[in-house]
Amino acid sequence: MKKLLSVLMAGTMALSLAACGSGSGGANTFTFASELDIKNLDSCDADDGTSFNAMHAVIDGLMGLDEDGNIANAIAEEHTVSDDGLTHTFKLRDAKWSNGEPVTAQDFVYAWQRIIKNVGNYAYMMGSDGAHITGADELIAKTGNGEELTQEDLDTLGAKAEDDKTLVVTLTSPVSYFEELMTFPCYYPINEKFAEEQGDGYAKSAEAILSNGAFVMESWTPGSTATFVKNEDYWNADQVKLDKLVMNLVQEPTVAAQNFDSGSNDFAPIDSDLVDQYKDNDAFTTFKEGFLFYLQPNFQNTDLQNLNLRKALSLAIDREDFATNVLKDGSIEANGFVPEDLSIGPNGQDFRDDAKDFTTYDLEAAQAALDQALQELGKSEITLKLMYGTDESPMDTMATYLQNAFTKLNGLNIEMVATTKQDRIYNKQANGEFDISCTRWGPDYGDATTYLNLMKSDNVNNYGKWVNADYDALMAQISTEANVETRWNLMLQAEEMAMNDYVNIPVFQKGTSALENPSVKGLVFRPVGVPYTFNYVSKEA
Amino acid sequence: MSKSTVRYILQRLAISLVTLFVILVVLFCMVRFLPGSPINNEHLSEAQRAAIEASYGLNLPLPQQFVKYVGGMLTGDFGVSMNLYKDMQVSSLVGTAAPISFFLGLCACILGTIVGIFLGVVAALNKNTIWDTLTTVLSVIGVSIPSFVFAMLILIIFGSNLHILPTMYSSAQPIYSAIMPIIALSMSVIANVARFTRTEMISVLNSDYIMLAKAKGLSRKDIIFKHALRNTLIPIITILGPILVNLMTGTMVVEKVCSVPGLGKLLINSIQASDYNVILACAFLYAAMYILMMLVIDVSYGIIDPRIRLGKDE
Repeated sequence: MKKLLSVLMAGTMALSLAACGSGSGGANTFTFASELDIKNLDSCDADDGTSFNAMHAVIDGLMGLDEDGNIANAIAEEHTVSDDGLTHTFKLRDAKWSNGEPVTAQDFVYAWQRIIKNVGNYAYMMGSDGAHITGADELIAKTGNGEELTQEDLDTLGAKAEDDKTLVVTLTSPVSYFEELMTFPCYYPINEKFAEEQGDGYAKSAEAILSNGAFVMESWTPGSTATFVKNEDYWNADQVKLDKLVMNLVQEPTVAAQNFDSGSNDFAPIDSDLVDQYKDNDAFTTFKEGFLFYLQPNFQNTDLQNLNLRKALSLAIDREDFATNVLKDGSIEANGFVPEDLSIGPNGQDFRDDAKDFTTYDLEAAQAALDQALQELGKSEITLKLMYGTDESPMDTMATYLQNAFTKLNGLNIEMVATTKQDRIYNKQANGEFDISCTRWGPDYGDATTYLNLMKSDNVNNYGKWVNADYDALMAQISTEANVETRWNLMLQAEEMAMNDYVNIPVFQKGTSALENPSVKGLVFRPVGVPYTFNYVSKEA
Repeated sequence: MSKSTVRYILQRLAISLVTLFVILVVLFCMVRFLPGSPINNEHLSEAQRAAIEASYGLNLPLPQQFVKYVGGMLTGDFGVSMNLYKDMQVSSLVGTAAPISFFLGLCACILGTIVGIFLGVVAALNKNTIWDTLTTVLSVIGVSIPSFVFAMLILIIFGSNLHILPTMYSSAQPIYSAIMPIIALSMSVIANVARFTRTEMISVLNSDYIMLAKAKGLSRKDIIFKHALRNTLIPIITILGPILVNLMTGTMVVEKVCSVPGLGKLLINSIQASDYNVILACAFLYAAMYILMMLVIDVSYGIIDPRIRLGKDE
């Protein structure tokens, strides 16, 4: 036994020594945990926050963010807009790809055409659902019909390289948030020669991606880690304090928090279950995401066509209680259909600060509205089906909470319809087979129209089939209005018009809770597009 | 090897191949009937979604999709990931993940068997003493607590508190960072092997030939190592098969807890993302390993003891 004990002790000592040599890295390494993996780094495909984080670590678009999170020039050194707001000219700075080639205007043209050609996830962002680039809608319609696009077709897109350093983009209507849009990864440039050489493998491994950004991808083991090192050739390299960025991928919140405690993570997102345990910790922090969770009533249901019924539903929800006591993850009650911190007005104010609050909790008023509705409908009680996807957390929590809230009203019965996200959207909602759907929307760009467009009668996501000619006319006016202040006021009017009719019933704006090493400074978070920018992160020793 | 043995092996091989094919058909259908879809971004319009589905051949009738998939499989093409790692080759994803899981499983099995046999022998030789009770208690704990709970415990104690072991797997330190998952996984192996060894050893020690050996005046060391232990070890082979299969399922959760980028973690993540081709490849590989193990066990039984050959024999 003595021999055995001594062997065990020797083993433990050896391990302890080995442990001294390891660790998450030096003072200039930032380790970032993520619950999801990087899908790939192809601007044509990637459509999730984790991939965006990684892409932005290696690639700069025309515009980027400064250290305060404001839109700033990146690869574009200068940006001019024609008087009619339809022609944007970008002068590019001298920036290099990591293979030594210069970043040219043609790299942007190629990347944008490629998304349309390959029916990329964000092809629609080139057309009237995003940048309004001329020719984009026609090209997207062709691919939708299964047509193969020729180079001649693609050249009809209104993005042209006038010379190596000048990119001219023509639009079908003015887009006041165009600069903001240009920070979105689908507008990033791609080096054509490199991408064609890599073929199908492009952007699917560390070796198959070129960098023109703050970091160069050093390695990526799917399901495990991705490491990035500082790009010494980056045009803004002076601002980059980190030597190394490590992403620990696919870590469950509990595991990520454990690893944070052991010092292996500098940043770890956590979920509601862990909030109570960490909320008093110095490292605890919360972020407001852009995602709005809301209820979509079906206007083809005769009961739900009644305004008072929809009003009763909205009044019966104690949004603050749900966000602060149930979710606890930094989520906040939604006061309107446009989330907070999304859209900044001409005078620098947030849309929500200018807009009215359209949601209150008042059970008595809710009951009165329901009674009124029942009377108008000539019914003694109403049964509504509340549909939600069980695979889109925390939708299930929200549905349960709402069921409980609605059944407090006398005369209202709620039946739960649990399904999957895919079935909810593409079968039940698309075919109008629902009463009320628990749904959500994440912004494509930082302008209120990314939400307000959803309620236009011809919008594909208007599954509730709310049709209002005045609203459509207002939205049409907004899309062509060149004066930013007028446009801002029109958007406020549009939200009010929709909210007064309870077209959709906003519930909460999603938040993220995370643990962040207090010695870390400069991590920039944005609820739209790329969630985290690592360019300005520094770590005190 | 006799003619009948060769024939027996071929027979088992044929049955295994048929089983594998049936499994593939069932898996393929089950995966396609899973609720959800790999393409479920709500920002996509129905037309865009249909176009993406068509690009993956998901619009074809199921039998046609199956034929296409099997055709690809025979040439080593397991398709591409549709959601988790968009458009990456599944073969390369599985090719990176599987060796890590195999390494963990194998190490856990070897470690567990050695420690288990040692503990079992100690318990049997010291029957009804404190060592015996201790081993029994350890075995009960090992059998009843799932391996991921051990993983969590080791993570908290040796990782977070004592900082002896790394809390997550790192491909830069594949051996050092594998210690924690290997120990966690080996717990149930230790428990099972120890209990089995103890029972076998006690029964062997009570058998007539051991009594004869004692009567012949052989030393205790000779009796234990030359006769008792040898005869105890042979039946242990029989439980290693099920233990290895058990380990395979255990690795799934342990990999998730210890952040090991192995096959189990890939399978769980792919199921969550409804990533058809990845689920199929991982599940099929698990099934193939299981069948291969069963085949090896059957064949080795058949060779060791021709009386227990399964199926008809001449």
